[in-house]
Amino acid sequence: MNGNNVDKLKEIFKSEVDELIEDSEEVLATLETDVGNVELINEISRMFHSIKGSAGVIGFNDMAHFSHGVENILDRVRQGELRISKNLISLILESIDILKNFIDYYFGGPPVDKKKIEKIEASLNRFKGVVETPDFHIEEKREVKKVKKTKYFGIHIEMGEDIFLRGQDPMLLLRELSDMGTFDSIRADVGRVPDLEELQPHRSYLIYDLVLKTRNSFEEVKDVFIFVIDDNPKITITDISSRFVEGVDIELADKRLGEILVDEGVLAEEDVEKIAASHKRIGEEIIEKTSVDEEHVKRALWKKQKSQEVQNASTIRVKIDKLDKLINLVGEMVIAVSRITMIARDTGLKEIINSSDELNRISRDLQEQIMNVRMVPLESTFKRFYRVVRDLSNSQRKNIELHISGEDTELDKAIIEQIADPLKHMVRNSVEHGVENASDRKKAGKPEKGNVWLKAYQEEGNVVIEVEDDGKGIDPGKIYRKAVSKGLVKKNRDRFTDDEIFSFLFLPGFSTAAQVTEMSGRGVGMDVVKRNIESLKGKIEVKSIPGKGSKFKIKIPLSIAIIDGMRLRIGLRTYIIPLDAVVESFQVSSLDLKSVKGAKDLVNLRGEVFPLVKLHTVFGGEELKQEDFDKGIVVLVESTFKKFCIYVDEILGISQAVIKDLQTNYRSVPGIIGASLNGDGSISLIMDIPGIEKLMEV
Amino acid sequence: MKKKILIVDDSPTLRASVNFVLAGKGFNVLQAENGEDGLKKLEEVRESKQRINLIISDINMPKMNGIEFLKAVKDSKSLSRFIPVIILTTEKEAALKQKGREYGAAGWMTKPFTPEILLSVVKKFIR
Amino acid sequence: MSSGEKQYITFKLEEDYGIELTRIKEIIRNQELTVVPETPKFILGILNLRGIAVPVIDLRKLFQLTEKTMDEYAVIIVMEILGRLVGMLVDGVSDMIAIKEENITDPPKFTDRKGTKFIKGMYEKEKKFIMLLDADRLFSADEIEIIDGM
Repeated sequence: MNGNNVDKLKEIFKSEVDELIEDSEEVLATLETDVGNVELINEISRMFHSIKGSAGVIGFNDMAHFSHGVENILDRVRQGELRISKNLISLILESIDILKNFIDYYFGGPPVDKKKIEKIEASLNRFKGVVETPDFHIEEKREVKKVKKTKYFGIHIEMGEDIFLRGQDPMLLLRELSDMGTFDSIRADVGRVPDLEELQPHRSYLIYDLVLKTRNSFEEVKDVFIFVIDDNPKITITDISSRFVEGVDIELADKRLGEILVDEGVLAEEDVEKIAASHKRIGEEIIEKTSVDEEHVKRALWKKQKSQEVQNASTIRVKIDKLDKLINLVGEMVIAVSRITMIARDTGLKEIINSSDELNRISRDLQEQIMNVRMVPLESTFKRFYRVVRDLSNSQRKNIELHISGEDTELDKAIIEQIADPLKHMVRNSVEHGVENASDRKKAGKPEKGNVWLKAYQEEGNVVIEVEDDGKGIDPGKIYRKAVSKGLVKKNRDRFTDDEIFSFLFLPGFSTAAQVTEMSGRGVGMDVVKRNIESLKGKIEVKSIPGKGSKFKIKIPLSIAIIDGMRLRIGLRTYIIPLDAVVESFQVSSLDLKSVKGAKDLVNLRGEVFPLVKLHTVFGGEELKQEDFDKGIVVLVESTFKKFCIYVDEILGISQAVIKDLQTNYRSVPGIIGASLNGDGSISLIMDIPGIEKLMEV
Repeated sequence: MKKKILIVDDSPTLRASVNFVLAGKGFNVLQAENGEDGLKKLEEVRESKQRINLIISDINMPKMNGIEFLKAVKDSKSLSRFIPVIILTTEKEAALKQKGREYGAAGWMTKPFTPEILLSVVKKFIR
Repeated sequence: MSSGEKQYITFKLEEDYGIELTRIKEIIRNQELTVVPETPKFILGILNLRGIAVPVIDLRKLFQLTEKTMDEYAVIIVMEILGRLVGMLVDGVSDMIAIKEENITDPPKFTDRKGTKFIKGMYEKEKKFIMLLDADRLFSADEIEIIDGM
């Protein structure tokens, strides 16, 4: 940065401010004798507004912030919300003195007396009234980037024909998109292009369809279109990542070579018909008879082949513990690489930063691939149940059909092994106790054949597995009586809803351990099933309509081992908040805090009010008692339904955290998901935001 | 040939800062302190057979404000009307953003903005 | 709360008074104030409320009621008057109630020490009358000037 130029900039700023102040002092002198003159007040307000703007642009944020405060007060006078008085005018004059002090300071003079500013601001603040105006805020480009898998977006760019008049250009959009990744395919649609005589050079006719391969998020891709999207609603962006496996679009496997080339825009549809008639190898015909070059055809053929290969994926067998070791190693490597990346950034040396960024990218790629290796479709697990259901329904003399769907849903192999038994237990339950025999079903007006559904699907970062039957359902009365008779629950029928009674099924000791089953030599109770699921950080719930059927729903989070987190310090301890839950962080001044007598603490952020959580009241412990609440940072987090703020002393950075399960050593601690080992050997606890929400009853 | 950007704003500091950032990235920055001045600069550049690639204009200016300036540019008979115009608004003036777009503004930035935001927006309009 | 209803905070000072909730920023317990010399008797001093210097008025003195030592129930109601925040020391806060516009009756024909009408209406609750204050009329222009100068 050229020091000379910066000085010139400062000089320009100084002369602008000096002039503005001079003008305003004149106006204020007049205002003292003509106190109600709105026009004069306008002028003063404009002056503070201009100073705020210029100071903000040049980075003198303290001065800008101060100016902003005064401007707000003058605006209130303008709008009739605040009655002006001579003493208020004196205060404004004193504020101008402060501005002069700021200027002196920025040009080598003594720093502005903090106490003086505080005193004036304290006096000024009473004129801000009950409803506080939004704080001075500089729009920053969003720095926080989440680690995302490689995604594929299908983008359709169809714009109005007169966009050139605005100065917009699809080519610029394409250029920006191409900076984010690569185009897996791109095609221009010439449908709107008129004949040459009618062609007008200042109109835009082309429509583009492309597939963008990128690591950027959907939001970032959307950002490219931020200025054009309102006027051009036909622009669409669709996440088609699910169609891509190992880099190829699996839909290509079923497409003909000709179709593929037409989609890519290199072959005209009419040509395809011509070619189709001949008997020679399609690829050769295309090369010979059309203008498509050999490279293109070869590549299209390759894509099609690869696509087919992927569909019939070939496999090898690997021992699970080898993969476990690999995952742990990769987890630790990812943390180490993150640290290096941060240190490299601090050096400021371009070469080192570039190399370490590259290393970071590669290590994340590796992490992604390793996690992928362990993901296995539920198909084989599910298909095994056909036999189970058939055998069991035969021995029970019932007529039951099993329906499977979503078997291509994938889950970590270790998790599949853990849930295989619980699933089997639930399916057996449905067959043995759920679905009635043929005659009972007839009596109930149901078709003689009973059904069990086994369904799997992904939902918001979880894999959901449902076991449903159309049997006799669960009788809440029976469950309640059984629970009472076993002493598990106090007698008070009215207090419990049906859903709560269903959950008694999961209480330890509920089902008898009397029968010996082939699984483990003991009866496997639903409580064991529940514990199994919960050890995988999953949840299980049951719904039932007596007479109609029952449904068990299991939710298992997809990636449990590694998360991105925001590290922060509260009191003497460090904590981590999963980045998924973080909305934004703010520096708060005491002005933004509101407390309603007897109730919760609240924070005012840009006009919206959120509950404020001071963690030492949640987790207890003196070490968490925070420093001066006036000078802290507030992190706005989003839980399942609500948003609230957590007070922190310092944000230490963003890094990946490998979650080490606390549960092996401690009982699960509410509000905490797990712990993470930091580079220096210390431990940070990872917060469970929904858990904290519950604890605070926010 | 350096790309030309015209900045129209009544704050000398803002003009100088934009110049500072963009000149450093190889752009030729022209300055005007209000709408009237801006139109004059456009005229001058046209007469020397050159082109302005992008205009960034504030809204609140004396003599001729940003909206009037925008209208004048977009209504002109010359090729100037194809130049993309970015308007600068403050947080409170969200409604002006809408008005600007109605009159043909290509984009907007809220003041104050960081050099990063300035550059990312400029990139959207200049090859 | 249905439309046509507004929330009021009621407090005691010999009689019962009410102020619209929208005018109130905060209610805090009576605390140390910085005394400002050469100010009229009804001005108690300045309260530092998390970075806001709020002038505090003794409402009893302002209304020229008999003196009373303030006990632990005394509170300061921080509210907005003519745009600026002012704190009012009162005996204690009674309640928060919703009052329908149509149930507010005209105030009796009495005025305060200077004839300014600072009561905008009356509301009857359980045989008692609550006097609803017009916040913006509590002080004269001169008094505001003094308050602003604190």
